Amino acid sequence: MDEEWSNLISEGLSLPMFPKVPGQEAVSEFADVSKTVPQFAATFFGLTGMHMLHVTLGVIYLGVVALRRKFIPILLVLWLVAWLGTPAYSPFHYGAHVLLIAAIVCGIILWLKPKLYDSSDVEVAGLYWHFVDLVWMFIFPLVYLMSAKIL
Amino acid sequence: MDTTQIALAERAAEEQRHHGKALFFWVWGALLAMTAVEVYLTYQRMQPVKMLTILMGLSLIKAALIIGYFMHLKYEVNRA
Repeated sequence: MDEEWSNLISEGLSLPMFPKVPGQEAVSEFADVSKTVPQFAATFFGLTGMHMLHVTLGVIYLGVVALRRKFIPILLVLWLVAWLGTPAYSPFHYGAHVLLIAAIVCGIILWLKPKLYDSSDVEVAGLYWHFVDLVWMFIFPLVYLMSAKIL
Repeated sequence: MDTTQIALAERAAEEQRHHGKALFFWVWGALLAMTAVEVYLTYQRMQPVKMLTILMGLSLIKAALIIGYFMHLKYEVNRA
């Protein structure tokens, strides 16, 4: 493939802050990296999307610790609402199946190892939740505030 | 510290830990206030490096509050 990265790099393509490979010029149509690599969208949705996944898993974690088996029907209702309530072109339409998978996994875990959660389980679930919280303290200013366009 | 002292220290920490919910709501309020300051700063014309410094400084304070109070690090007993 002509557009393979290793090939483009060997032909002289590099990010603006790195030195050019001497004697080699980037293929003209790829010379301007900012036009060929959708860097902002990849970074933005990579960071916020991964964070959303972690928040979702945290909600399920806290829900199971708080309600045990009773949380599974709630999770299945949330899955149906998210799945049927979003148009087919939306990434959330298929992304909602994370909730279905989580309901199945939680069901298997609670069936194989039923237990009453104690204060340590609550403590650890809280630690996970606030770790995800902590990450957002840095993602929010860096991703949203630093890229805000002020008129 | 022997085991009795550790148990007593843990009990003291436990008592301090169950001081009610008010403190956590104050911490939450402080986090919200700092977020409001961050958003306000975004609407001021400022050098990007200066703004980044202020934002990261505030974020570090917020992170310390979360680790200290929400993750209970402030109430950990020193076993060393």
